Amino acid sequence: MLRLKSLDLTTALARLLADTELRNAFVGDPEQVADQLPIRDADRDALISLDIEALQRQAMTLIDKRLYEVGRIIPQTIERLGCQAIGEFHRYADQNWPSGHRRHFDDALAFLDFLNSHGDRAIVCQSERNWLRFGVGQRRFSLHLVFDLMVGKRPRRAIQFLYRRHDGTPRQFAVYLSL
Amino acid sequence: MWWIGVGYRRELAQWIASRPPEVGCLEITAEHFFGAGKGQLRELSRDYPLFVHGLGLSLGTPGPLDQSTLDNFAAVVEAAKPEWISEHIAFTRTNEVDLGHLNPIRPSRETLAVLSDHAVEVSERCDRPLILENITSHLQLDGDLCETEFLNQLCERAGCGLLLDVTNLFINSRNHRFNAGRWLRELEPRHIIQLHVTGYSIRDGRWQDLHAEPIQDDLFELIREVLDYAPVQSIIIERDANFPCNDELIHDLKKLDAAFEVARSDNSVGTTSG
Repeated sequence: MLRLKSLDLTTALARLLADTELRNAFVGDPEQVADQLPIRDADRDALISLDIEALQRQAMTLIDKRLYEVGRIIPQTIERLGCQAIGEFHRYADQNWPSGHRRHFDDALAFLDFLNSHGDRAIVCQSERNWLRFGVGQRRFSLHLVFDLMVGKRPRRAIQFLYRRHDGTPRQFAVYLSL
Repeated sequence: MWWIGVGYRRELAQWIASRPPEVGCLEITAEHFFGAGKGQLRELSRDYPLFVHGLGLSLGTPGPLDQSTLDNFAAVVEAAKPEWISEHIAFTRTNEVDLGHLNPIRPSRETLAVLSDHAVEVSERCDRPLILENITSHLQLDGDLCETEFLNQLCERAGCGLLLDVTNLFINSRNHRFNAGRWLRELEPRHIIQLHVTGYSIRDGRWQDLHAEPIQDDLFELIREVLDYAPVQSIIIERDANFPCNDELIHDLKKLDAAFEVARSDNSVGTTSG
């Protein structure tokens, strides 16, 4: 019979923090989850003695911090979501853990894609999504007709022109079609 | 001599460009410059002593460091030419998942070996002294060392210093109910090189480090206690949200400078009379 490689405490803890289902199982029966993982004998006691409430808080904090960063990148969409933002983001975030130093941008884009495919497409600010997709991509320029480019606090119909400077920094300008 | 400054953020760039005299140094977050901006770093290094602070090297993760992240970090250090570099006593990812933010590690001899080996590797790769920062966490992990003993041994073994986040210490002492002053005095004072400070927030009865509040008086008291105890060389104010007007930052920078002044003069009086 194949024996699974035993996990160290850090790897096991990361799994618990990232996976709500596993965490809920751990809350119900820590010893069973410790066996299932399985955890190394040397780390078993430390794992099963974790404070459940603190574990849950730590997991929530990780997602809240991601939401904060995402909110800085796509403020219009988050504002449109209003009080649903936290719930929607938690629904998305548990299954998606972007990596690397551009993870906040990847996270924001993946969340917009999640909203597009799972929710009301109108909730996604398309001009914001265009800007973000362009920013994380490699294209030199891009042109879009949009209906939600913000001027002050009001969405406007516009042609959104996105381009990249010689140092790679993305820039945009817009031609407003109505006021 | 001491350096007091702020964590460099885009929202503060214009103010910093005006060269306010209260800002004596800057701390650069390495990950903010992984892609572009090396030219800007070189310019900043002409105007200010810099420190490079990492968030994502995940020194507490068992196994080899992520070489791509280390390459990026070293490139930022090369451009910034900092006085020293810093990272956290934490893990942010494993080879399965990138949690993106700081999580606690077990204060054990085994973890000590992992962390100190990684610390030495980063310091040697970047050819700079490294200091390591205490984090705040809801979770506390049991190990075969107490936290302060772990920190002392870490500094000895890795030949590094401590970046003592006073706010994190304060928050942990409140959330986990221990005496911050006693905790401080269990540390070897010579290890404490630099301080971080930002105002704490309180939500649902828990203290949190959202980097969004002005520095409260009880934090200033703890800072004075640290300055009396350890030969700190620098203090950095961290702010990541609710960016204050410049006057508020200037006020806090002046207050920190005054605290340094008092601590240094008290210590020199003590030295002379002792």
